[in-house]
Amino acid sequence: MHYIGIDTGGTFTDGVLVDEQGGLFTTKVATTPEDPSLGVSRCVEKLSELAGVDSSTILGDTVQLAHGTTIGTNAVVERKGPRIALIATRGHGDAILMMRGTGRSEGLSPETVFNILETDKPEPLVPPQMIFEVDERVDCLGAIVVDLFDAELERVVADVVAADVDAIAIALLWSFRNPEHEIELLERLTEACPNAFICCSHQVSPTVGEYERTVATVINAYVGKTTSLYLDGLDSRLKDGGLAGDLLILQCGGGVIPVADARRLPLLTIGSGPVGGMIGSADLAQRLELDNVIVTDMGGTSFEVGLIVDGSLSVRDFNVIHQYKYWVPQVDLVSMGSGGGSIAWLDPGTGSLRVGPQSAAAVPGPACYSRGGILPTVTDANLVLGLLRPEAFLGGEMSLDVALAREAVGKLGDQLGLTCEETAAAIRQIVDAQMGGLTRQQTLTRGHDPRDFTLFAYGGAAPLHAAAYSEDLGVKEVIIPAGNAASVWSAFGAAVSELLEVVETDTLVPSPFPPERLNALFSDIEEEVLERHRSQGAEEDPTITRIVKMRYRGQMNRVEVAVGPGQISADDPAKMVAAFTAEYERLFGQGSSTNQPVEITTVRCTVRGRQRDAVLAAAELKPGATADSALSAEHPVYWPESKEYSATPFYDGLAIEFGASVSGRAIITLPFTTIVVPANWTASRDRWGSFRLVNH
Amino acid sequence: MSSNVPTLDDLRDEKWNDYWDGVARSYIPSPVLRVPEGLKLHTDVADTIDPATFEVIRFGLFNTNFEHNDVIQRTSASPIVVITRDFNTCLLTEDGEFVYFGSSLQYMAGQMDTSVRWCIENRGDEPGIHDGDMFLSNDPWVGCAHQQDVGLLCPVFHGDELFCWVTSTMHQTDIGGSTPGSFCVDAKDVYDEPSPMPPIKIVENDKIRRDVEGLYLRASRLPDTVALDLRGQINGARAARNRVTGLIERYGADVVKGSMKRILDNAERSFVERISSIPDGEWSERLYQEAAFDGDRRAHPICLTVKKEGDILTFSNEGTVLSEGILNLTFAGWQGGILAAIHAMLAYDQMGCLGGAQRHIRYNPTAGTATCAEHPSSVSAAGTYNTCFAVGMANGALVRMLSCGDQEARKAITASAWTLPGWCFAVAEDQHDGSFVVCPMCDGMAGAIGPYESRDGIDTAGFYHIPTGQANNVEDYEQIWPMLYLYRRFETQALEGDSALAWGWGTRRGGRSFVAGLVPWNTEQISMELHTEEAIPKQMGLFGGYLGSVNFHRYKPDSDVREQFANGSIPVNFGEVGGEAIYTSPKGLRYPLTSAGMWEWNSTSTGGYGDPLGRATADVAGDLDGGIIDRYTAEAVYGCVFAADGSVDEGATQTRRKEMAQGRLAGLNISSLGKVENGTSVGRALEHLKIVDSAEGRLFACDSCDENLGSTTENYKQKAAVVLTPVKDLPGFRDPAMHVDVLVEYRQFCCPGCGVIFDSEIAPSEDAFLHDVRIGG
Repeated sequence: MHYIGIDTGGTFTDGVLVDEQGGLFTTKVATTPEDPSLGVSRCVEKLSELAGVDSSTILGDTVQLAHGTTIGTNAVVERKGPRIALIATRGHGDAILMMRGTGRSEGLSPETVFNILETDKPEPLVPPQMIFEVDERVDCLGAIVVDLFDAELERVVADVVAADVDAIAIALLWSFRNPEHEIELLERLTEACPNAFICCSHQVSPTVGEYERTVATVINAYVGKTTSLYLDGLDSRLKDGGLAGDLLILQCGGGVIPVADARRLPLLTIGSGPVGGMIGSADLAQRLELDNVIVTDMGGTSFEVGLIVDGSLSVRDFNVIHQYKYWVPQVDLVSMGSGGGSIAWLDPGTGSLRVGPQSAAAVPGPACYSRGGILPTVTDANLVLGLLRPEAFLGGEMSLDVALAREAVGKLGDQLGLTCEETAAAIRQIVDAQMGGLTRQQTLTRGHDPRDFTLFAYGGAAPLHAAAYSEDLGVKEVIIPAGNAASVWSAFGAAVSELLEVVETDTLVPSPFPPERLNALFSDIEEEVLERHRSQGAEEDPTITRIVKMRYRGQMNRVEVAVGPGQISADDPAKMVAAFTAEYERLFGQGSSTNQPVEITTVRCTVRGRQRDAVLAAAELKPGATADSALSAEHPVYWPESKEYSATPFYDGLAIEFGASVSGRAIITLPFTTIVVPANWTASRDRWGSFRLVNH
Repeated sequence: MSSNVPTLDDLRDEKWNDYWDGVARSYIPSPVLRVPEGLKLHTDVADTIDPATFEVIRFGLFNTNFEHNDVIQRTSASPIVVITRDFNTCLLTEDGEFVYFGSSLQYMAGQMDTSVRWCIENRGDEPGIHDGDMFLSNDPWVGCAHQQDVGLLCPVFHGDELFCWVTSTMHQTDIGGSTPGSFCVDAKDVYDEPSPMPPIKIVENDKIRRDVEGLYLRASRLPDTVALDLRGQINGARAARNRVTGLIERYGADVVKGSMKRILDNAERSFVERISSIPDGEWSERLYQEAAFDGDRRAHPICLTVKKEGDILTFSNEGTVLSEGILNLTFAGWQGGILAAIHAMLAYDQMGCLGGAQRHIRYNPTAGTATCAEHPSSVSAAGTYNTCFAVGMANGALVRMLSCGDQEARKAITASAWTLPGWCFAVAEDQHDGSFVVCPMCDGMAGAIGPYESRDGIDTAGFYHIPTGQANNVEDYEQIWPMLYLYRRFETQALEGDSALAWGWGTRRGGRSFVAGLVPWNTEQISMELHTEEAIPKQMGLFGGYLGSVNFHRYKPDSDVREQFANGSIPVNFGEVGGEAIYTSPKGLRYPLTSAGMWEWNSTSTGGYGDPLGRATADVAGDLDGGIIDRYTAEAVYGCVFAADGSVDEGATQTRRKEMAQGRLAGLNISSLGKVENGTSVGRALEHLKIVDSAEGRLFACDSCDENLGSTTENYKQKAAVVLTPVKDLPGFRDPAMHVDVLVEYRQFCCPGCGVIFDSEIAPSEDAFLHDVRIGG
């Protein structure tokens, strides 16, 4: 019985296989942009080779092949979607173009929004001439205000047919309170445009707010055909190759969904890119019995932070793609442009040395890649300092040019009056402070104390920096998960993902909440979520998580409160308000609550379930384990904090015995990443191959 | 001017402070801060700070202010705060210099440094400023635009020394006064309005003083909401204070303070460099407000001039009408408008560090005028109109100044700031539980960004002086308030076929905003308490660009909307709604709207940039494709000639455009000075003027045909060919006679040689041409 996770990224397609004994095989192949399913097949073949069996045997014994795809995201970002029409309520067709006045700044960094000069709205998702308005109206209580008469229905259908489109989004005001008109349009358009991908807003994003709901529906329609074609092709390719189990697709809420759901709601695949790593982290955290984890991922262009709180992934209500915002349960990751490729520069405006957000990316890449890049990057700084070895990059497949790195960093230093090493140290300190700052912000502003957390660090560049950016946070421990697997961590996360179904309803229930109203609301959505879950052939009696979102009347921001199972009784509403108040004070400080009335805006049910459980094997810890035999060399390293070179031991990470420790200052090299262990830190290798760093 | 009125020469003297006292007149800080004995300010600055430490602290301080902003935004129960971002936060040095100012409402900048400096001078002694204190402040003469903008000032201490300040200002939905929402449009003076509070200690030893809070909340119709917002402000300030003290602990007080000063020094250097290419001179703006109060039918001039001498900009308001009715703004609001425009055009890359620019700005307003009103003028309604007006006035003067600089200065020129959010506040019964609700409608935040020299305006891209503002969803409001929107859609730049014409034509077209219509729903009646209404155009086009739209509110009390609903149709403009139309008064009182009524309003679209005859034909074709204009407009305004296949005939278009430009001169009384001979071009002004040194001295000349427009110290408009059109004759515009008893003209100043439009203005026919560009002399 095997579990496979395959994550398609921009440059590499990563694969992970967990076999019956919990053995872990990992691989990386080049992504094949023209047909990403080819890269997936190659990944399966490489994994089979590593496991020593042919691919049809592997696939025949695979219960779950979970896949993270960027096919939908790419279609939006590259605007490669089909001709699309939008049907909107008369008088409101411009809503998607108006973007609530936020189109210029949505999703941009706080430092950028001031600069009107260099910011703009994105290209429209639907050109204005393809937006069709229809005479119909529903009000906020779901009552029909203006009927959709047959003649009007036929008129708009004829207009859409004449526009000759491949995708149609139907997004009418208040349709999630009364979907009658959307359904009528859907039925009639399905007949009239049999080849078009058509979807309705009450199904895609049944949430108040016509702009965000329309965006969700349009994006869903826009990527619908591309995603379906891709998933169908991949599914049959894998089935033809002998896949016995299910192909499951990673989704943005933090889990996987069957192909059929992904075809229907391809929107859910957008923003799923970094989710695999979060799921993998949650899985490992559970095995390590860690409730609270800060998850950090530092790659070539960006740094991302997410949280696991009380064992669950933090999820937010929205996603933003290309400045378009829409409501969807999305694993809450925040990102900033701090990665290995981030460029260091002297900001003429503020006169300060800055790092990022511009990145040299893979091409031309850092100066030391010898691909034509001449600007100093974080990777160049690490190389100048000696923290990275020129000969041991990307599993030894690529060597780095120290002279080019020194030239790039040195030039910047000349402007600052600093030596090359001092400049490199400054770059590193700045990027570390940025990452530490963002991490701190993501915990403290969410009402958490980082000292209650363990920090996970994965992605190619994170192990180089994790100790440094954690230093001021006071976290208990820093873990580089599963050692070398940290570089394919998203694929690992996919392999261990659970099925996830979320159903929620927008409502407005002022306090005191009538229990019968809440019971009725929950009853409807529980039925739906269970129905969806059962249709996937998953376990019969899963655990349902229930929450309500509450706020003080007038607020926009909402606070989640968990609701226990079973019927809500007469005492429960008061308890819910008390729980809300406590959570509110935790988030915003003691004394922040008031007598303002409270209201419930949303009820949500979530079902998670595994078909079966992939378990990573743990090695036996060796009594008296040592790292002595792993010591491979000693090299001079310029340590930023002491601003001087010191001879530093380098260890081969894979040769360190399970249970053994290394004391800083030391460098642990792994095929695809490097762990920096500063003074006063120790790193030990645990039973799962993770490196655990502790600051003394 | 009487002798007790100080001049800028008295800036450092007691005379200045005695006059600009924050009681009878606005407080205008002197550069000399009078620190009471017993209050110690922290001034130690580290000699050297390495680049990494500086950047780490700079980043930390920026984030301190960002987090402060975030806490308030997440805790407020007021849509006007959460959606409109009608609040802001600030980090200031110990003596009140802006280190970082947040990305929410920019004109609140006027409130921050004034309040802090006043607080030091007037509260530092008694009751004293101590660690753990916070002060509440909403006195417009001390420093806020109107009483609803409630400030919270939190000193941060290092030991027993006052290290810096973290402050916030937050618009409160209701803090009392004669009108729900506290915009008291019928107030005769401030005594009819919410009572202003000079800085008062509301938090002591880090605990809320219940007595003071009780006094504050007692005036409000929505005390629970105001209490929640106050807690948001206090908790935001605590978070920011802790963040600063954390940085001090980590890096040392002198290093953190040194970093603050360096941030300011760098911002100062950038500002000075940015204005360095601009010659000394004076640039002005003048616009007219209708009606000081309901029933008033005069047009009131509001003026602003910026004078550049070396690296100092001095702002004055000479020519502005005396304060009256609700035209008024105190100094803090006026300064805020100026700083908002400075931020957008001269400090846009400083991430909110306004203090650098502020070191080179002097303010020299005349007390008692509408933009520097004395106590006890009425000011509570200032936030709907006068504050945005202040931004627009500063924008108008500054863009003309920037046009005389190099490309770096010119690139920031924008016609953005005159856009006025169409505000309205309704009062109604909640449709769910019948309780009383005040509905501050923030649709206007969809806004529009005006065109720049290098790009078109951006439709509904918000406001440049509220970079993070948002408009609501229609569903958001229909859910909480008893109303139903018929439509909310773009204004049009097409001349034919719609009642919401925005114009905005230009070489770069203006950004479009919206027009919306609603009916009361699930209720018998709502009351429209406050609205903004114009008939005199104010959304000026720049340098030959045409006007943007006029802000209006109008209604039909006995509409046929419900009949139309029953017949299966939804009207999407005012003309499609049956019933008698009523046009609201510019400073009118509340309008009841029964369930049979229908209300329409807009938010203004911006003017264009540059003569529309210079617009690239491909851009005109793009406007046509996007439905922004119609073919008639392409022909009549942009001079496009279309071939049989519908494409633009480039050659014929150029010929036609020349004819149209010359056609502007037909019938005008022109006395040409002839061409400038043997001149040397030494600079530019506006879009189509150049500055030329010749035997006759320094002259303005047309950059296309070398027509002489006279000395740069004289008003070039006197030498221009002037196309005068009564506003009532402009297609799509309202007749100003509906609100004022003067004939209002649209004046386009053209080259007497080639007919290109240099610039335009709006004024009553009896008023002289505004001398708005004056270089040297």
